[in-house]
Amino acid sequence: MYSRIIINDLKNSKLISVTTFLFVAASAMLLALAGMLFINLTGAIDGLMMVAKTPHFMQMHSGEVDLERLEIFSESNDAIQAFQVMEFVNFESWDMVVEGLPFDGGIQDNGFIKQGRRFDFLVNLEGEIIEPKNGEIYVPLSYMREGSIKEGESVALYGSVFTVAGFLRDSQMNSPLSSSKRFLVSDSDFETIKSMGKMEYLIEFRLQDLDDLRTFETEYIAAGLESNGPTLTYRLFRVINGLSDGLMIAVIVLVSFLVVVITFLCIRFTLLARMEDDYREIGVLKAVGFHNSDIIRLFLAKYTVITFLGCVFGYLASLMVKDSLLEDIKLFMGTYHQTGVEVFLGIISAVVIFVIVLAYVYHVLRRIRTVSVTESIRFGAVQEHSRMYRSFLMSKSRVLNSNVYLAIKDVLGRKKLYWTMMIILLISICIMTLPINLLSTISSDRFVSYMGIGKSDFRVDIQQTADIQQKADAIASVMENDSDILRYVVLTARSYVVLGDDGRDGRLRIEAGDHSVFPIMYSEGRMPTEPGDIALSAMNAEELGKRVGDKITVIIGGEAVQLTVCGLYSDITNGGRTAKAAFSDFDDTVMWSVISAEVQAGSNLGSIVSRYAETFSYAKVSNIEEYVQMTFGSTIVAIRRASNVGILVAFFISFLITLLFVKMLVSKDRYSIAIMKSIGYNSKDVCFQFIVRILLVAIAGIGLGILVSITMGEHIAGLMISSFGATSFSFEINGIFTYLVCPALMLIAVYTATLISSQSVKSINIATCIKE
Amino acid sequence: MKIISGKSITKQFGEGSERRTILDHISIDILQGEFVTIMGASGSGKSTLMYALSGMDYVNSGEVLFEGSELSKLKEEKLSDLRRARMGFVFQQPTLLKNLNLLDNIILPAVREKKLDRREIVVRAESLMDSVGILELSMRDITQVSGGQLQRAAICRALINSPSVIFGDEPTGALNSSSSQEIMNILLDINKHGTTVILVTHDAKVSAVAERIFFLSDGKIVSEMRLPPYEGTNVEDRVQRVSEEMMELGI
Ligand SMILES: Nc1ncnc2c1ncn2[C@@H]1O[C@H](COP(=O)(O)OP(=O)(O)OP(=O)(O)O)[C@@H](O)[C@H]1O
Ligand SMILES: [Mg+2]
Repeated sequence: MYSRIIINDLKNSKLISVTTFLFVAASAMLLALAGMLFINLTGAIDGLMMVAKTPHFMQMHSGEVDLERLEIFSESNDAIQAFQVMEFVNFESWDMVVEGLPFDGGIQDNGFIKQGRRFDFLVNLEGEIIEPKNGEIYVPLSYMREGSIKEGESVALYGSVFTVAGFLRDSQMNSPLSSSKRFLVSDSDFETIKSMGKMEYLIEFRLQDLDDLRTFETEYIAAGLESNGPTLTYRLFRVINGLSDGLMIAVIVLVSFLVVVITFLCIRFTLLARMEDDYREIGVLKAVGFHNSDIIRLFLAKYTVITFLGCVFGYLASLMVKDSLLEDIKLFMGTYHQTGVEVFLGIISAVVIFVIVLAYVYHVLRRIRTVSVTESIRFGAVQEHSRMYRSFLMSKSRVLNSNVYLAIKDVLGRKKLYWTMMIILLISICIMTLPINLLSTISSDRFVSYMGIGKSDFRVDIQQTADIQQKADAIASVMENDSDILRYVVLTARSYVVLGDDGRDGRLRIEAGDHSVFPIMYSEGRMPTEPGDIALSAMNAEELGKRVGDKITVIIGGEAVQLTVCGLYSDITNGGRTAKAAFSDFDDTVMWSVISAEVQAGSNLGSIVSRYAETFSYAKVSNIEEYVQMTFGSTIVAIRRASNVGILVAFFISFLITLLFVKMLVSKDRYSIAIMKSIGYNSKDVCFQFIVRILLVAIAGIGLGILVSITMGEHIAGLMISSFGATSFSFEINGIFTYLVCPALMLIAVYTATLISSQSVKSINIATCIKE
Repeated sequence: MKIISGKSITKQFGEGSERRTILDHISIDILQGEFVTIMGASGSGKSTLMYALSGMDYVNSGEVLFEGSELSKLKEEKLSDLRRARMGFVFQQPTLLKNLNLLDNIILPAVREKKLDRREIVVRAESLMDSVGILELSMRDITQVSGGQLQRAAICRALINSPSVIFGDEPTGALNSSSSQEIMNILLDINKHGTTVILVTHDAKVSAVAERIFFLSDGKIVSEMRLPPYEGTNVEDRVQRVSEEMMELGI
């Protein structure tokens, strides 16, 4: 008996059933995908880092290395399991010739290396540790992706010729977000060419217990060992490896959450509308002695069928889509072999959706209990109206078009019904505009200033070389006389001893100079302007336990000087541990120097950059835009894809929901439509009323949605961005898309859907509907 | 002059074996200014005939001419315009929009016309409401008035555009005899001013005021009765004649 009622009901409400099914399927698919991608990503990263034996702590260092002292330190420290110093030889892109052409190494710090002795192994695409033969070179995977170099090609480097034997996965530096790339050659080839490039040391440790990392870091700093370069940890490697795909997963989770919300709203309004339709009937059923539970069971049975089918379909769809999204993870991190876990997680996700959707249906259905028998039979669904609604009258208006009036009156009179619709459109516009504004924010040239890089045209880095101060002065004097340069600023960084509050001293790299020329964004406080000011990067502030206004004691020129923390900022450069101050200090211990410059409007930035790069071969000259492109390029691509999908999804959702909504409205309103027709309103009038009603709701929803997306969206996006290390953040709004294109697209979707659905008004027969 | 002319109207309902002919080749002419009623047993097709004559429902065969134009050949918009400007319709139950108050419901057919002045429309509506005694209810919601008052509002709405024909499908059916009498007086008054009135009714007293009475049975007009124009006299006698005819036909 039940099955017959269910099948009949499904047949009678095809559109509702199909829409509910689609949304359930989409929710199940997205959640299952997120689950499967997540387990694949973490599994693959763990797998790679296990095979590669990624160091737990790594200090990059340029300059002399006292191996003996390091040896003694590591033997005396029980926490250390293994220790090694790797030599990393930097080469310039033009030093390497691929098939006769200079290598396009972008802005990365490229270098070669030999395979790790005890740990930190580079692995091939099969996930095995590579043992390169003489004459072979293995190239980082990202270059395979960019297509700048191919397997079998010959590579000339410092007079030696190598053959590209394959590509390598680097558990530390795979990601485009990490600025170095390691090429692998055999041990004996390495010895031949190592003297030709700039040597940098990777001082690496594996600990007995990863939990001891923090203590170990302070011990290392306290021991005053080699520290001329960034410090990186296991945790950071994991984060960097997972970031771009993690971001994708985060977006999928976010979207699936929104789709679940829309599914709920959709169920809510179809069910409520159905129940309102059946209000009398339900009352009558109750009056003749039906129990609430019987009525609930009937509806629940129908939704169980739809939800079950939706979840199964969604799960199957996720299996089909999965592989294309896994491509990147598989290439860079390798395959995760626990298919059992993956399948299980997918199924669990689908089951979760099944359970929460049904729970929600049950929740909505419980309203049936509140249908009072006598009331429903006497009045149908009664609604209280506000005084404003009641005083909005046709008879009081001189000019208002009667169709517009009827539409407005209807929307005001059934707010609850239209409310749901409005929320759905609100969410849709958010799905559209959020990724777009995230994209415009990340791709805006101001974005780097949230990351600790002032907005300039190009920067010259001088580090890991002798006489940095003199070299910086030389470049500065050239810039001074260069008519192409509008303005520039020299910042010099030195390493200072900081007196810790607990008596333990640490070291702090402080960038001194004029920070007002190319200012960065401070998440708190302001930039250093007085000699007694210091601004700390978020990571340093956290480690030192300092906030704005706190004092910090630094040894400058042999004297303890008290500085006041004036600001905090986010930084992705130099391992995130930097500080900025305005004092001047002329001793000769400069660690590095950065000269930022802005060119005259209209001059050719590219040629200026290459001119400086050629003239000052000891310095690293980078075009900021190119730098951003390289660092965030893949993220930008991912977000652009997400925003395209977002637009499509939102368009589709608004279209489908409006189609369904209007169809239901027409069927609900057929009695009043028949009345209007009987007094001489034609189908066009009624369709027009539907369009006005829906556009009113759409405009409200879109307007509020844009507001939500640019206020709350900023917070949500801020959370996502903070995974890059940026703490303060404000949206860079893409006005054309946010205020014009997206609303226009939504309105088109909603308008077309209304137009299509309201055509059924034509087939409403006055005689039949009035008799009901 | 014929205002409505039905020629061999046939209307069927249902599909396949359940298909039944409700109107079976009915021909009927109604003259301008006439007061006509249609009588018949319940389910005999009175309402169906009414809908066919007013173009509210399509017919399966035959044709209906309204002021010379064939309804089934008109575009929907033309038909709506005709319905709005030339016809008024009062249904068996009051059919008012429930989110509007009485006055707004009444002026609804008129405000669709952009040319008409709103103030004049409201003035006219108020004088109509006054004449049927519901003026003080004009700002009430339709849930706040009685069935008889609703039906009077429906009549006002039917009259707001000064139609040439007014159709009533048992407009007094749901009312007590005093309300019923008032509504009949209103309709007679309108008829005096030249509006054609076509009523469906069970009630011999209602039919007694008509000039012509059609009796419907088995899908056909089985009898047509003529009475002299009603002057407010001979009421008993007229009722008597109608009742006798009804008895004879077994209604
Ligand atoms: N839409 C429909 N589908 C099927 N049959 C219908 C439909 N409308 C009316 N009928 C049938 O047509 C016949 C005539 O109906 P109609 O409403 O015209 O009767 P009536 O004479 O007005 O009766 P009453 O005095 O009870 O109002 C009835 O038997 C009815 O069951
Ligand atoms: Mg009837």
